[in-house]
Amino acid sequence: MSTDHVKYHLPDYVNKRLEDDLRKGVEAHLQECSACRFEYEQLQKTFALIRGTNPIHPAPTYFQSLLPKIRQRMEQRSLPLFMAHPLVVRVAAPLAVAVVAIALLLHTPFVYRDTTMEENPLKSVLSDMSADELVQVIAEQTSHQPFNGYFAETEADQTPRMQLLENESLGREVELLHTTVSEFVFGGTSAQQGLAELSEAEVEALLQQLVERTML
Amino acid sequence: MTEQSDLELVRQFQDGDESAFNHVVLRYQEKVYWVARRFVNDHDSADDVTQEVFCKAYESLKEFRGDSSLYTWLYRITVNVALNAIRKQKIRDFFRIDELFEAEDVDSPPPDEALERQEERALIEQAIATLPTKQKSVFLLRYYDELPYEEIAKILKTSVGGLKANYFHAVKKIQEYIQRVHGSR
Repeated sequence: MSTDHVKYHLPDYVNKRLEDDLRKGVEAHLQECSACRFEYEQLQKTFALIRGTNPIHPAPTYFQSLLPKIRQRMEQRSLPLFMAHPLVVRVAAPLAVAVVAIALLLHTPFVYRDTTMEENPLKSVLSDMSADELVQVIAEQTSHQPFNGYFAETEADQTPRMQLLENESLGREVELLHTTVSEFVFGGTSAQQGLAELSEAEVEALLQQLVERTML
Repeated sequence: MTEQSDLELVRQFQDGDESAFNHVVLRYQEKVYWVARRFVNDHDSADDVTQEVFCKAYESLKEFRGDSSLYTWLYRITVNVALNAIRKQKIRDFFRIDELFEAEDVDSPPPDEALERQEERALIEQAIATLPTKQKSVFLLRYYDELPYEEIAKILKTSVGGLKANYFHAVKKIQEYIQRVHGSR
């Protein structure tokens, strides 16, 4: 057996997964070839390290609860497409409810005056969203309302969204995110597509776009 | 009572018996989960991938013709879904969006776990994560799932020739990654 031929058998040889005839050939070669012996010893150390590390196991009840979760996910998929869209289920519906609730509350002066940023239900809804959901909602929302409407001239101009954006730190992050998403990713054309809905080819193209952007 | 074969379960499902699919899930959920877990490294992502795999399997099982074994077919779906999840995570990581909101740590180690063991595990996971896609897939399926090269070739839809080389180069890259990290400490 040549060195080039033997080295590709070494990982399986280390883990005792080589067929008998191959194993004998590798053993014979190792007795004569110091380079392959060194390679063998290095692989032994590597596999010993890998063997010694075990992942943290899930909770003992995890697998008992998996089938019901799978069934639930399948039921959601059987809903009309737009009803099952994550943005509708987790974002648009609660957001719409929150906006309506706030609009109603704003007609009650003393409640309006008492509303603080910490109690703002919009902020609460948004803070419960995952990062990619937030990107999508902001990309859709802010494409319709330019940021030059950020500072309202009168209190009457203040929509709930603008009230939220007046929370400085959150507003800065949203603005940065809007800029990043609009300019570098969606380009105004695919803003409607949630990341979860992109096909494999689209994900690859997006990834390639991002790699190119980071190289500029 | 003898256990039903995979093919029998598939036929029953194709004849309209929904409970047959449940048996498929119960039979393969752990295998699918651990394949997914080794690709994506954290429990929540592995959980999401696992559920997605069985949803896709449910949608496609009616057309399953038995050209490969059921577990090869499931493995193939699992690898594809896991790799797609990894790609999407790379895009999320690009924006570092999660830094805008406090995110809970996933897979936080139990308080009594030795720090050294935790660091070693993280090191191995990082090393595997840096592998090229094919090498990663071959390594995980060969080392952890102990699949024969012929099965790996069917799952990855590639030829057997070259898989040993993929496996060797994967292990070498892991080895070099570990040496590089240890060398820089």
